[in-house]
Amino acid sequence: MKLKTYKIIRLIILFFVSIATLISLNLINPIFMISSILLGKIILIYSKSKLSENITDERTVFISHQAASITYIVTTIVISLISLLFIFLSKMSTEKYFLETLGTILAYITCFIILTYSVLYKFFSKKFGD
Amino acid sequence: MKNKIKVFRAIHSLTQENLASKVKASRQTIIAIEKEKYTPSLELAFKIARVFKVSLEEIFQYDE
Repeated sequence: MKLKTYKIIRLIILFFVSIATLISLNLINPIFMISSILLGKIILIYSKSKLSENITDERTVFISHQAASITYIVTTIVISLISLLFIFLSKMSTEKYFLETLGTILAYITCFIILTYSVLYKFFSKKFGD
Repeated sequence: MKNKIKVFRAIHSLTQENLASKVKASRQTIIAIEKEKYTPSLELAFKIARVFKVSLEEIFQYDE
């Protein structure tokens, strides 16, 4: 199978899965949604295995690593700033407890992300030589 | 890092797609390496050199 054919199939699957998800949301039917997503994924995996050329290699891995590391930095900075904003706003607002709780939860989420990154960094640095 | 992949491809009459399938990479990766937008790993560089039956230094030149 050529890359162009695969891209067309991927687009069609995306279109049908989106429609199926919308319909299942309207009908409040999670089984229909999950089965349509699963079916779409299976067809995608099958058509990817039939591809005559490689579409994932070290460059795509490198690109995804770059994107992931920038996403990590942006996400942690934005969430921590929002949590600080909520905590400061809670001092002035009438909705004191709601904003403070939200800010605290976001601060803990930031801590969790940083902790997970640190643990995984340590794990992989040990695995690859340190 | 400079490279002569385009020259060697022309000598061996290989298309970017042919070379990509021989080294198990995507055509986009070969294009990026040729345009010097992406530096290949040592493994991929060796695979490319092996396809053209030359040493690594003949294809890739490291300039500081």
